[in-house]
Amino acid sequence: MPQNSPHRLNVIGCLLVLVLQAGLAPHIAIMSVVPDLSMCFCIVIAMRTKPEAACIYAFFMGLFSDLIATGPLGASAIVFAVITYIVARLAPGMFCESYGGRVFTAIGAVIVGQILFAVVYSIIGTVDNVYYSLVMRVLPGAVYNALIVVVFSLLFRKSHGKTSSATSLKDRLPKI
Amino acid sequence: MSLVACCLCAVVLLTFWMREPETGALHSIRDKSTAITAPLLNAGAFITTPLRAMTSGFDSAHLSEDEYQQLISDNETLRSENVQLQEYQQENDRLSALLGLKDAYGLESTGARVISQSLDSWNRTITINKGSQAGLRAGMPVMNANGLIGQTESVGPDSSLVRLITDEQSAVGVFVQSNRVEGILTGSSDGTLYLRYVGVDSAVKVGDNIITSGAGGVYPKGITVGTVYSVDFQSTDIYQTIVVHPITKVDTYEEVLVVTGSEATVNPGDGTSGTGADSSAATGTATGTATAGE
Repeated sequence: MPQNSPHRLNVIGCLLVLVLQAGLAPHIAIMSVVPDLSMCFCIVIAMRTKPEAACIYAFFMGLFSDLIATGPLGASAIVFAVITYIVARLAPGMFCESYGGRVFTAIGAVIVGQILFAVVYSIIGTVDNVYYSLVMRVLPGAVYNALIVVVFSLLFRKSHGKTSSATSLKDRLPKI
Repeated sequence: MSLVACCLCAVVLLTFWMREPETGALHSIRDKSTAITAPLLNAGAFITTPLRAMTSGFDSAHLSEDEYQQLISDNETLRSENVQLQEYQQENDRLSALLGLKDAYGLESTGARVISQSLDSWNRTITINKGSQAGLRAGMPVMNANGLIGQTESVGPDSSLVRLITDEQSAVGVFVQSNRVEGILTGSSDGTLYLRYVGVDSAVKVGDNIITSGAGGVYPKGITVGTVYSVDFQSTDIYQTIVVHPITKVDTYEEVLVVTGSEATVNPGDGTSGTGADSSAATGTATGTATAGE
């Protein structure tokens, strides 16, 4: 198999998730909370990709998500890029050596991502009351997206096996 | 390095997006992408029909016996009121004809079907299956059988995005039907409607009907929006805190009417008409108080 096969898989996955985000996500909203499949997928990819590549994937996923949604163009792009970069940096760390650790990190990333959205939207003036947004949108959104990210993690675990393209912390440490 | 580059690009895009007019290049790209994703939304709606039917069943399953009896009672009352109103309508038609007045509420409208609820959690919108090919434009009021639900924000050839009045970026010029007190109805992040800029000296009661005032020229005058749910104010307040219960719920997939014109007041905005009380993201956030005259 060629060496860039994981990237090809990632790109196909990104396209598939964008289609699902556009066609399915609005219909499976619960109490006005629409799942952010794109962000969840970016986080899962970030676990297995190098930070620079994950960041670029996330930027374009965010850009396309913005195009098919109703928010300002660029908001998701910046949030996705920041979140995935942080996750990709953390991925080889102690939290992500095990499957449980990766899921835990992914859920944390989803929560931080939702908070970042609230911050970005309040800066650009789309959200009037940050407190209400945290309670009414960030919290329910974090719960729903956390469930989605767990499902994606399971799917990716099966499709990619237990191997990761990201370098582990152990490999990065200087050999004494 | 890639993070910095991505963040810079995103900030530049955001800046252009916020500063350009509704007819700008980025907004046009968004409109085109909305048109492309409309078939996907249609397909999604078709696929998830059984799921939604099940959810709807669960929603109505919790109706108690008291609520059921109350609904039956309400239904009978409304039937009798409807007969009475029809009599008044006929009388009004006769008198209006005598006086040579035009029907102020003769709205021209196009029916459309809701194909999707909000596309993300941060905006309260719906997507409908009619667009510019059916004569729709941005800024047209959207109603259902009961009353006002929002206004078209972006219009593609075969689909349109409607921003609901419950969205926190929406503002509608309204008045209280009983005493004609004017105010601005705004949405919020949790979907609650607030009637703002009503002074503490104005007598607003729970149960009062709220109808559009026509201020701003976007929404026609006289469309029912909701009823007053609660009124609250302190002695030091300038304005009352009035919560309005929307007369219509847009949680279900249903047909809507897009008001394409009226003999009296409908004046669809082109993205720059947010000069009065009626506005949304398409026309800018409303400021100040309603100034509609009767």
